Amino acid sequence: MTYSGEVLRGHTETIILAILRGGDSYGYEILKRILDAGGGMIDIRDATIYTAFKRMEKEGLITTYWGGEEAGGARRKYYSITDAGREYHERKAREWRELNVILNKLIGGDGE
Amino acid sequence: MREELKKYAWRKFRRYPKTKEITDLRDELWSMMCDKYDDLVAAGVEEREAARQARELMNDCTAALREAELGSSMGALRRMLIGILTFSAAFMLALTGVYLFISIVTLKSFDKTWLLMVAGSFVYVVYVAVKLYAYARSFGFRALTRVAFGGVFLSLVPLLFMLPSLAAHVLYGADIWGKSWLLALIIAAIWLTADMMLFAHGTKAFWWELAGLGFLVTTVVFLAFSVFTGAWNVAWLVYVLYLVVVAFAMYFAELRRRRGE
Repeated sequence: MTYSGEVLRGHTETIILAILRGGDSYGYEILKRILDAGGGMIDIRDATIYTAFKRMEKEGLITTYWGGEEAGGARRKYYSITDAGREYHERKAREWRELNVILNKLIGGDGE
Repeated sequence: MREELKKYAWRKFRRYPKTKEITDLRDELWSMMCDKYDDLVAAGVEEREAARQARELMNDCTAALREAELGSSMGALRRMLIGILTFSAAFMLALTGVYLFISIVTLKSFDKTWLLMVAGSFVYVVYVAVKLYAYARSFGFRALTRVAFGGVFLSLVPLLFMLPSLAAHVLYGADIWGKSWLLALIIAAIWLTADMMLFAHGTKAFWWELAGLGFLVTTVVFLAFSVFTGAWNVAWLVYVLYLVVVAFAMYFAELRRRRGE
């Protein structure tokens, strides 16, 4: 069974920021880390990722810079988290933990 | 293979204005395709298949282009408008040149040649409308695309309805205005049909729009029949026919709904 990227709706920015808290990264690496973390169960559209990049850059959550040329002339665009991005991530992560507790009580699945 | 991926990316972006944000996005997508290609090849995927999968990254980049465009304060729109202004100047100069040449050299009269300027202006209006529609569509601005689509049809009215009527009157002294206005109604009917198929299909307003379109088509039929046959006293029956069709459609829709319950 695979879940479409829809299950991540509303959380894409937070996930990307969580990855960037571990250090600067580039588009494909971020996409691959999300897919790998999903263990093959998440089928996220590439467009979702780079649309999120554009939106986050506009909102000042991340900044970008170009890396050196790779073989063949293609240059990677690197993303860094900003202070505003860190604050945003901390707030969203806290909200997620609180919501998770509530949803576990409501949905649970242990019959209580 | 990187060169092939580059050509693919450049081809996909060729119709977009080269603003910094758009070329940045193109370069980034190219680099992502290269990374994906290398990754797949390293995992043992055959080169051609890896390239095919890498190209999938660019299948749906309209949303990202829209974000890039919004982030650049509509840089592509501004460039397009400058392009239109440049074209306008060249077009109007060329048109005036043709007008003067035909009036002075060929016909040696300015009597009716002003029609050329009118025709040229009407063609120009269509050009601007098509450019705006192409812009809105390429960046996926839905509401603007729908409005611009209507604008294209509106721009056709002067060219297809007014110009032939004017030309017939000026060149041959024939007065076809009394009937040619039906063309405007036909253009409106075609526009509404196309608009509904492209933009309203699947929306809640679809059936209301279909009923409205049916009413417009009925009016076109009523007017065409009445104008060309003069049988105004009978033509109103098409409205009765329309109401019967609507009543049947509502009846069957209700029947279907009840069966579904």
